Amino acid sequence: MGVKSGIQSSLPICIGYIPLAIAYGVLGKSAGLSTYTIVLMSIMVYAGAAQFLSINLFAAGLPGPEIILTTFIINSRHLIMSTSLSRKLSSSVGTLARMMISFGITDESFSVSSIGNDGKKVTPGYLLGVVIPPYLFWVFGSLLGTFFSDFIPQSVENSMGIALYAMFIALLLPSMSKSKEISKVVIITAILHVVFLEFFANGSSGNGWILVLASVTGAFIGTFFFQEDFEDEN
Amino acid sequence: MKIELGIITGMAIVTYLPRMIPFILMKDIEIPKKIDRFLSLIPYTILSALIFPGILEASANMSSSVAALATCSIAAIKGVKPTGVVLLGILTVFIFQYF
Repeated sequence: MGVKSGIQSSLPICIGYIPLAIAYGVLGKSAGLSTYTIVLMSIMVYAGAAQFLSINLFAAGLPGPEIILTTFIINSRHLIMSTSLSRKLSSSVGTLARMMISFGITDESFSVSSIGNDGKKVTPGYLLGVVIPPYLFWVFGSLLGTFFSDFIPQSVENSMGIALYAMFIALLLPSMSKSKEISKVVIITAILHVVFLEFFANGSSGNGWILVLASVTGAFIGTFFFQEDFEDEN
Repeated sequence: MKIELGIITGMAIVTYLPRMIPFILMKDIEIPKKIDRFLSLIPYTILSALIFPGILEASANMSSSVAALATCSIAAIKGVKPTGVVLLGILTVFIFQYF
């Protein structure tokens, strides 16, 4: 199980990233971001949800620290994925290889490399094969989107504002349908966010912090109120 | 352009570190269960807060947003992949422009 097998496993991710990356490039352009900013984010950050959200944050002229903190909060979910995935790699695999592979950990590459090989250890070559092609598709797809924005009709472009939310729904709903606990926490957090916005919203610059507050509070409530249910499930 | 490069560099660092540090350090460490539980809920709660109430203002009017929320939710539960759900959401809002 080497590089070739990894590349084959990455194919559905690559196909999935093409329209998302183009939508990201188009959205970025329509929000007034430069091609430089859009593509550099894909090259350096490489995190779909955070990049989609940061388009709005950049366009709203939010201060840098708030954009960076929001990015960190969104991408801190990679802590869990990275922790989980590292168990699948032999401890003999060196630090340099781990540093390279870990840059490419996304929801999709994590899922493919975790679920596709249940119980078995994976090789560094396989993981590099899984993470490198989607990265290239994401970067070049973003660039393509910045060119296409001039050719796509306004009515279609207007409709693409929903893309980010549709992606979040696609990520969230399968987990909700599998777990009542997650469903409860998600609903509680949504209510908290609406309530917190009602009480604390102070222009667009304050809203990133409210999102963090709602998310952390929701997770705390889930941790302490649903702990026993969670342990029963195990 | 300089400010943007600075922000993006910051984003890159805070995105890379959570990916990289556990991958290198935590292979043999057991996380306390409560902390593990809390961290495992964070992505769901963040996604929830990202969707609500923002989705209601993501298109020209609330009815098209609600329609997209409904169709995307059903598609996601039925197992449609994220890309399919995204295209369905765009299509839903696109069609609703003409009502």
